[in-house]
Parts: sequence; structure tokens; C-alpha cells
Amino acid sequence: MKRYRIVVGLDGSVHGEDALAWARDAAGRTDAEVVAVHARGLLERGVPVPDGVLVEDGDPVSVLLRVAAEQTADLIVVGRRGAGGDPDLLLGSTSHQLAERSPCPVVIIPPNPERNPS
Amino acid sequence: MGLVVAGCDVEGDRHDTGAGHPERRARLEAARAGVRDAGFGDVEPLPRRLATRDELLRVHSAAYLDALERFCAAGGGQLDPDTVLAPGSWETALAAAGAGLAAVDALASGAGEAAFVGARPPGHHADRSRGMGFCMINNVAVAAAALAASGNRVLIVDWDVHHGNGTQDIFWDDPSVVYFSTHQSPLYPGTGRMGETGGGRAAGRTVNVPLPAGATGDVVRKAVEEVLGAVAEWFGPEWVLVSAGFDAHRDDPLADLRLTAADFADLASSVAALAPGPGRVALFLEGGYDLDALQRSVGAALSAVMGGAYRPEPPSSGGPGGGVVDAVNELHRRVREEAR
Repeated sequence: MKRYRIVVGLDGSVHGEDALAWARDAAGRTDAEVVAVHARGLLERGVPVPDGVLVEDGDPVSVLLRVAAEQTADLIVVGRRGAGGDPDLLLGSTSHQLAERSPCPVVIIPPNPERNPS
Repeated sequence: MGLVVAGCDVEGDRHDTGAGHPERRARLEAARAGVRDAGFGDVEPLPRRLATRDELLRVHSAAYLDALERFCAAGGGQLDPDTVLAPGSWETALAAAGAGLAAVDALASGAGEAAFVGARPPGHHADRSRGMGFCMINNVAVAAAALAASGNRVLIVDWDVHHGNGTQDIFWDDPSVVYFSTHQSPLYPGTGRMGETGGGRAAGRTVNVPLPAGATGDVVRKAVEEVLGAVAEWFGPEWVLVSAGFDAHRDDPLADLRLTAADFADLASSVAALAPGPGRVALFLEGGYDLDALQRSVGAALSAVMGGAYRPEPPSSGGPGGGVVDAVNELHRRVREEAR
């Protein structure tokens, strides 16, 4: 049987780290494989990325959809920046756009209030 | 007949991207200085005109336009990690798209030999339903769609260093528009591979020349002369619109191609020669983030398009990528054969 494959979006922030931690935990319980992806934007030339992280050029939404398709992912996991509940701000939300467009399930990890006190 | 200038409206620009962002208002000042250096400093820009909703709906979804307008009205913010919008960005974007429409209208009524649209935000990364990569509304696509709607065949040449994923997406299966792009690859936005050649009834009408870092002007010229020359002969464009980014310049901080101002002059002459006659070519500003390089390159390109000789730098040559051009040429020859 094919192992489940989880694609995780990293953006260099703690939200990406929270998403990766959740994905690794879930993968450990289900013998799934985790593919961590960093979308390299226009402004990010030369920014170092940790070993073992796939780097792809583009905006986060396009990159995660592209990689998920190429890797035949079963699940996409992303963090949420915590823009609040204002629907007008959802236009700029990676998690919201992924939830609308992804052919596979998307898990959105909310900001950790202990780690990110407001 | 002279040069038509649209946009370049530094004073009216309300698209404030914040301190340190490379896609900044000063780019319009540099572009305007380039227009002056080319000898057109006394040309009065066309009156400001906002694109209408119907004009935008030819290339963008209603839901996206509504969300974009609301997003700006709510104070703006990050559209994606690269793209920052301010409350005034919506109206500035309407004016940028409107500048392109005004320029094409002016040329159609015989107002000049060529046009320069000095617009920001740039447009070529914006697709039907999403803005990204500094872009909100796809200015060149709005103008091309207006021309196509009145029955014209339109050639879009995109020599910005980044692939115009948005323009490609919008016209992917539209047989009335050819999209030709030279760009650095790999680089943002990750699209524009050689094998992306257009869909449906538009096979062969998307042409991508992905060039390696270090490519010089002679390689891009070869792509234009050999690949685009054959495509244009096959397609027979009635209008030529250029997504004229100047970030393939060797001084640009966002990429690694090695072009100079003289290379943009040569490209502009070659591309303008593909139009069926005078008054059928317009250059739209896209990227270009080193202000001095931008000024020199805009000046050289506009001078060349108008038959002038302003070339503040010598051309470049000797970089890699010639083999890619040959491969794209061969691939598209086959795609056109199959499309027959």
C-alpha cells in the first residue's frame, strides 16, 4: 500500500514551524512521509533554507499546489498567519486560497497563542 | 508623428509599498527621466483615465476584482509575501490599466508611431483570479483583450526577466493572442518552461524561452530574431504590445541576466519591426528595480523604437543560452506543423 504523503508549506516563520511540527506528529502515527516546501518569492534571493527542505520559485499558493500535484500528496498542511476574522483580508491568505483550490484535503494550523502572545 | 506617452504620473501615484520595497514610486521618476533622455521630454502624457469594470472583466474574474477593491478599501496589506497594497493602490491600478487602454486608443487614431505606458503596479504576474509578484491588474492583458475584442490579432512580447505567468494564463487558449516570453529560469514565478506552448485552439501561441543565469543580449536577440521571427510570420500580428521589464539588466538586484541598455534598444527595434506598420507598437513598463539601469534602458528602448540612436551603454554578448533558443525554435516548428 502506498504511504500517505503530507506536503507542508514553510514560510520561514513560526507558523510554518508549527505546521511542520503538527505534520511530523501526524506522520509518525500513520507512517506517512513529510515533504517540506519553501516557496521562494521575488524578494527572497539568497535567503538560506534549512537542509531537507524543497525550495521552489513562486508564490506560496501556486508552489504548494504544484508540488502537491507533482508529489501526488494526500494532504497539505499550512500555518495561519492570524489575520483575524476579517473576510476582506482573506484575499491575501495562503490558507484560505489553498482551501478553495486544493484537490486534496488541507489542514490549517492556527497560531499558537503561547508562542505568539498578542 | 511622435511618441505617445501614457501614465508616468508620479504625482497621482498612491500605490505606497512602504520603505525598502523595490517596486517603488521612484521607478516612475526613473522611467520619466528615461523618456526625457530619449529626447521626448516635451511630450505631454495622455490625460489620466481609469479602466472601467467591463474592460477589466475581459481578463479578470468579478470575484477577484471585488475582493481586490475591498481589500484596498479595508486598508490594504500583504497580498502575498512579495506584494503590498495600500488604500490608494486600487485607484492607482485602475489608472495603470487605463493608461494602456488610452495609449492603444491614441495609436489607433493615428496619434503617434509608438507608445510608452509608464505604469505601476506592474501587471504580468496577475492572472484571472489572483494578484501576486508586485502585480494587481494585468495591464498589458487588459489592452490586448480590448484589441482582440475588436477583432485584432495581438502579439505580446515579454522581455521582463521573470516569466509572465499571469499573461500566459489569461491567453493560454485564446487564438487571437500570441504570448512570447524570454526570462531567466529557474527563477520566480517558476513557470514558463519550454514545453508550455498553449492549449486548445491556441497550440503554438504561447512561446517560452527559459534562459540560464548569465545570458546576455545576443542570446535574447537570437531568440527574438529566430524564434519570434518565425512565430510572427506564421501568426501575422496586427498589434505588438511589449511587457517591457528592464530587470534583465546586468545591474538589477532581483535577477542574474546580463543585458545592457543597448540590448534593450536592439530588442525594441527588432520587436517594433514585427508590427504591420507605424502606430501599432506599445511598450508597457513591467519590472526593473535599479533606478539608473531603468532610466538608461527605458531611454535606449524608446529612442530605438522611434529611430533614434541614444545608447548609453554598449551591447552585451558571450553569455550562455544559445542552445535553449535552438531547442525552442525546433520545438515550435513541430508544434506549428502539428497545428496545421
